[in-house]
Parts: sequence; C-alpha cells; structure tokens
Amino acid sequence: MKISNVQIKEQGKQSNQLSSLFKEMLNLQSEYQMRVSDESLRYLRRLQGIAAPATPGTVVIPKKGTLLSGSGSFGKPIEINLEIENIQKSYSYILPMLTPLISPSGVTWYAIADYLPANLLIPPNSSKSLRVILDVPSDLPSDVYHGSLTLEGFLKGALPVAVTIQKQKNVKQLAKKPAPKPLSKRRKKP
Amino acid sequence: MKQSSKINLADKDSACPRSTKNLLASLHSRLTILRYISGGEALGSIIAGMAKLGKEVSQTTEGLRLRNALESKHHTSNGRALWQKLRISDWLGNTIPSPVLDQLQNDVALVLSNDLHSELQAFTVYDRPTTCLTDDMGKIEIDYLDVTIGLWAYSRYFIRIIEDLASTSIETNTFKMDTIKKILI
Repeated sequence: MKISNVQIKEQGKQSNQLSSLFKEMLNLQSEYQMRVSDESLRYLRRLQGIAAPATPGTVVIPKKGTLLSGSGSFGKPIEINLEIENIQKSYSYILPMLTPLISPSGVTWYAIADYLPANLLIPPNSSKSLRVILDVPSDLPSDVYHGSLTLEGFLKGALPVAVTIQKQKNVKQLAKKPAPKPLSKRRKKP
Repeated sequence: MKQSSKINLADKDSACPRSTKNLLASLHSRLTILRYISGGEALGSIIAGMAKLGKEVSQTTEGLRLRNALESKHHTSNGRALWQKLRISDWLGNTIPSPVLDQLQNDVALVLSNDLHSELQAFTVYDRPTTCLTDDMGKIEIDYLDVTIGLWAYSRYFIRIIEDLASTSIETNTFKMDTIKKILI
C-alpha cells in the first residue's frame, strides 16, 4: 500500500486538530474544577462565618441631634468637648480619631488634632470627658468644614463634626507685621 | 469657643450584653472553635480582621496620612508583588474577618472585671487543649504576663518599623540597617 506525502500531511493535520481540541477540553475542564472548588470554599467560609461565635460589642448612642461643633480662626485653636458615658456592665476603651474635614466648596482640611486624653478607659456606669483641640492653619479659607470623629472598634462609632472657620480681618496685617527686634537691638544707646 | 456634647456607650445586642459571664463565654467559644478549624483559617481570619480595620482607619486623617506616606515607597511595591505572587490576597479574601478590636476590647474588659473569680467558679470548661509537647520534651510554662509583655514588645517593634517605613526614603539597604540599628539600640 502506498501512502503519499499529502495523505501523511492530512493525517498530521487531523491529529493536530484532535490534540488541540483535547487540550481545549482539558483546559475548560480544569478551569471548571477550579471554579467549583473556589465557589465551594467561599460557600463553606460563609457558613463558617454564620457559625462563628457571637462577640459582644459596643455601640455609640449619641443624644438626639448630636453634632460636635466648634469655631475659631488662625491663631485661636478650636476646642471640641465630648462627654462619654459608659452604660455597660464592663470597661470600655476609647481611641478617638478625626476624619478629614471638607467644606462645601470642596476644600479638604487634614486637621492636626490633639486628643486630651489620647485614649480613655471608662469603667462601667461612669463617664469621662474628651477634648479635641484643632490648630487652624493660616491659609485655611473661612468656611464650615464637615467630617466625623470616629471611635475605633465601636459600631456606628462616627460622630458628625462641623467646624466653622471665621474670617480674620487682620490675617494679612499679621503676616506683613515685621517680627519684633531682638532685645539687644531694642536697647537705647547711651 | 467651647461646646460640649454627650454620647452613651451601650451594648450592641441587649440579649447578649457585655457582662463578665458573656465575655468569658465569648473567649471560651473562640478558644473552642480553634479545635474545629485549621491554623490557616484562624490566622487568616485574624489578619483579614486587621485588614478590615486598616481600611476603616485609612478614612481618618492619621490613617490617611500614614497610608499616603507608605504608598509611594519602594517596599510597598515589593509587598504588593509578594501579595500577588504568593496569592495572599486570595487567601485573605476568602476568609471571614474577625472583629479584632471588639475581641481586644472584650478581653481587656474581662481581665479588668471585679467579679471574674466568682464567674470562673461557676463556669464549666468541657474541652481540654490538645498539646504536642510533654514535660520531658521541653514543654515550657507560658504565663499570662509573658504573653502580655510579649504582645507589648511586638506591637512597639511593629509600630516603630511601620513609622520608619513611612518616613524613610526608598533606598533601602541603608534604611534597613538604620532601622535595625535603631530597633536593636
């Protein structure tokens, strides 16, 4: 029996096509298996999450319409006071942090805040006060800035904050005013 | 100008208040569940919880400042490359995040409570922890204070490293040596 070159080439083509088809099928199958295992893992994790032990937690309940507010201008630090009462049967630990403050015109103020005290440990059924002091930068436009004070670890822990920066007429004058002369130069000559 | 507001800290679920009994039960159930899940799942859950906390804190001014300082650094791109190649994000993304701060708050409240001893007397523990080492194999006694001080030292070390990473400029060999020297000193 004679086999021509053409026949061999055709057979080769057919076997190549078959192998590529087989490869594709294998790829599809392995991809499918991967997806199935991924999805089943995800499903099991979700189940595990449902079955996870409950963790007693704390929520922050502000008095109705609570808005932490303060006002000031350059050179006058703004002070925001907050009274925190722990009405639980256990101690609570507070670590306050402020979010960036944004004005309606779109100016974002990354305020440098001092928290006094920096953290609070409040015994059950007692209260403590927290002071947040903000330094106003000289180039901050006057406006009302909104943000929030977060108490990390507490659900619904963010309290709305509104800070009003007042116009200061003498800012330019203050900036232009020359620095006072050193004491040695101020002395009158005899 | 001073203005004052008042807030209350209350229980998330009135059916499960933060009483000493419930805090003790919560800690016990966390320890018990370790027998039924793998080490990878337990560790992944804690790290995923920290990542969730990191996302939340990144919305605050301090968190955002730290994130921005870290963002442009050489080590962040290295870290992200590791994250991708070792598929760490896939592992953590499929894990239920633990409420790490809630748990820490509860554990602190538990050790501060005045009625812990009486609650412990009434509390029954059915499980016994499994151990691999026996006394003659070099098993060591680990005290509560060992862990507390170890955690303090580890956290201090960690904070210094992260703050150094945020403040340092990229070139890295000098940085590594400086950081290591500082920490060792």
